[in-house]
Amino acid sequence: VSPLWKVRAATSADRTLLTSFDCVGTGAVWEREVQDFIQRHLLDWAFDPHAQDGDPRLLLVLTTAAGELVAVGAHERVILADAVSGERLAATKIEVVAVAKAWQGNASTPGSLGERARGRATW
Amino acid sequence: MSEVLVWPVVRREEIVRAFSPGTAPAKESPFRALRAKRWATAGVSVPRRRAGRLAGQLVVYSSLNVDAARLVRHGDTDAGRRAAEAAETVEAGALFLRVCDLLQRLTAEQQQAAVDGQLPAGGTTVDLEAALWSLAEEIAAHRAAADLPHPDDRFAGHVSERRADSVVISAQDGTRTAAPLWMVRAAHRDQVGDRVVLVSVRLDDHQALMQAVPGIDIPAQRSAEPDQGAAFSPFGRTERRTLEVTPSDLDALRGVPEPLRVLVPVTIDR
Repeated sequence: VSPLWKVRAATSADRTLLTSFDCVGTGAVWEREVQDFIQRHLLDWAFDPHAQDGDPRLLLVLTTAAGELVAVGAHERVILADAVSGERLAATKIEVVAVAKAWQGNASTPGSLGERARGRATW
Repeated sequence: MSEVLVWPVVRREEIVRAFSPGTAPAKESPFRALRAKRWATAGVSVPRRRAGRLAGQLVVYSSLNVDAARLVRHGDTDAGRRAAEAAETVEAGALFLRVCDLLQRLTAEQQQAAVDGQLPAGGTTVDLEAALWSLAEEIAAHRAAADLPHPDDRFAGHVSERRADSVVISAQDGTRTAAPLWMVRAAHRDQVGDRVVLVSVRLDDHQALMQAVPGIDIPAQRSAEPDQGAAFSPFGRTERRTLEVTPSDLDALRGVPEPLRVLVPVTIDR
């Protein structure tokens, strides 16, 4: 049984794919802000030559069969700081995680993700 | 930057609380004493409705009355008189009457909550909110014009952390203080992001009372100065605030991090 989806790192060729990503469910302002960032800025964020020290990662979840973009996730290394004491802490910061509207609330069906994986994923 | 101002309208109880801390706020005599000396205004009556019928009235006062009461309590009766006169001017103005008119459209419970600093949820009171912003600005301008001092220590900011029994309030300059959760809850300001003003009332060298007063944040586009808060975005690398954490966040994050893992389902051939 083939897995339903796959995860891969984004490339600069994924701009069109990201531009059409639709994750606005309820229409709330913050949902539109997330979608706008993914559609217009996320690829530039991931490949910004001045930000490579933070090792930014942009991951795409796609369906195996049709290559449909299911979800997007991005993270990078940052230094967090207490604004008052100035104490610093190295951390990995999640920049964004979003699930395509068509997949929101869906659970993987037995046999597709794989009963053998004994996992159940809900987006 | 935007400014946290005190909620611009109050009920009589708040004036009594400011004039006579520790006494029952529903008590009549402290307010009568203020009125007799013209250190408080008469307020503006707003009809209350229950089930479409008139059900008494709610008297709404400008928050300048609270300033007046505090000043008088501290013995600065001249400034107290100036504050009361400013309150009278404000309450006779078009903006205050507009607020009262908008309050009339609410239910009795909503009216009282709105005067106490809590607008009904759901965005149905956009006009009232805008009028209250304008009124808060007008009151601030009157305070400045009348050269009214703040006799009590004040700490204005927003709730930045909520703990089991307390909240942390952060001012715009980065200073922070804690307040009991029950106290800010009474002022309808117990959620992260809520604007609140803490007033410390010194009783003597050994005692003080603290009071939480609902705050109102003047939106950036209404401020004379551009507000960084309005342009805040959690995305990108230009916003310094996305990398700022609290001490308790640091405690929670400290330690050896787990490697980030992405679980990928794989096919196992038999």
